[in-house]
Amino acid sequence: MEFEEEDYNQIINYNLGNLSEAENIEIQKRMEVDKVFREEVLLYQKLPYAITEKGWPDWGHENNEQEIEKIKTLKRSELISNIESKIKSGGRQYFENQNKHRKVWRKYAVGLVAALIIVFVSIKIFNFNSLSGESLYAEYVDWENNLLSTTEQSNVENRELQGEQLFKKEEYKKAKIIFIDIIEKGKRQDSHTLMYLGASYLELEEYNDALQIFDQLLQQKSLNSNRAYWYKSMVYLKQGDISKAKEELLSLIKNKENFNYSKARELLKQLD
Amino acid sequence: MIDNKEKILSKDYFVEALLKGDDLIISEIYQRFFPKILQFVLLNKGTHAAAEDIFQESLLHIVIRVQKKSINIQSFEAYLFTVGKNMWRRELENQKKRVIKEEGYTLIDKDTNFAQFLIEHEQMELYREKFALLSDNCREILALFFNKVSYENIVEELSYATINTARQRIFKCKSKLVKFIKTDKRFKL
Repeated sequence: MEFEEEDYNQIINYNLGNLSEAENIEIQKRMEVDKVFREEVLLYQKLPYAITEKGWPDWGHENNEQEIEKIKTLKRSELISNIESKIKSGGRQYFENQNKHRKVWRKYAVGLVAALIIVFVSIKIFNFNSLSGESLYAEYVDWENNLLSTTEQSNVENRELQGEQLFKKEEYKKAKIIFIDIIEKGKRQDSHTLMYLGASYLELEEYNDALQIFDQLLQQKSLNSNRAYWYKSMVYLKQGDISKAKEELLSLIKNKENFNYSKARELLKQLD
Repeated sequence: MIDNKEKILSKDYFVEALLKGDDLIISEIYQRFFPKILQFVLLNKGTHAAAEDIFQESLLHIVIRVQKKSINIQSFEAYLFTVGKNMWRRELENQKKRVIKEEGYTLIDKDTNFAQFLIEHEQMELYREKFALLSDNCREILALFFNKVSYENIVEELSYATINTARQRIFKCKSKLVKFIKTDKRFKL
């Protein structure tokens, strides 16, 4: 069934929270008596979750009881129960091995530390890649111009502004805590938050975390997602991993519209 | 860069191993993929025990979807992580509801919860699949809109004449997406 354009405007505004209390009550009453209208509202409610990295709202399963029972029956079948046992025992095996490894680690810690010192000295003396990566990083990193400022965003909360200001003062640890808190409280996981959190991790040399956050930014498929290629190349540069830095830059330059396209081309020439 | 060994492994290797209940490869699955889900859960108010649970349930999710023939995996690792992430986020939403509703909240048994999540995930995949069918312009404008970029910024970003033009475009793109979704036989509410 097709509704009038006015109905759809109401549905969109209801889902955005733009209606008055009286209007909300009216919509909810209509949803109680008009099943088709209710289904349309629920469908429109779910659309954003199809493309944003957020948990979805309460689904409501009144129409799915048969399907639910089928799945439960399948899950409780002998075949699946056996697989479930194997998965659990596989897990137990893995965690036992992890514990064993931790004990072995402690046992040989002294020898390992000595070996690490030797490796560290060798890296310092012989690792030109690391040196050149770091110097290029120092040359190309430009957080002031490469991160979105809160003045460029609407609907930004005070905590984000606070985090951004701490980052600008190079208080990366405090900035990191704020941005993690914002994400954990489920308030926002938008480009701005992810950029600053990733950059904080990078400056704190927590490279794996930085890469994970920038990957999340990339997966968002938002307007600013492509910035992640540049940011990831910075992570690899700082680590001295020239080949991975180049990979990211090559991905970046596949599209002329991508962030820092010209800079990426320039940097690639230097890396060759 | 994925090397050839990983390419060969990632397609059906892990799925078949799960279906056969291959202990050795299941252990390898934990070794390779559990740390990433663990980190995600810990970073999002979870515990080690919660991460273990999510990981196991996510593997079962894949197994049952294969049995139902309602799954199309390109990368086992990426798919497993997506399921785990979504499962945990949903669990966090449910925990919030329990706190708010307290006595009025009806606890759902684990298997029902699992089944509900499976249906919801199938539907989300359908929505994403249909979203990918839209034109570049529609995807771009809806991505901005769903990420709560203001109409003013959308107009500026995409060079529309007025806010009303942008609104109409958003409405048309949403309607197209809804039509794609509803006309697919897999659609359910």
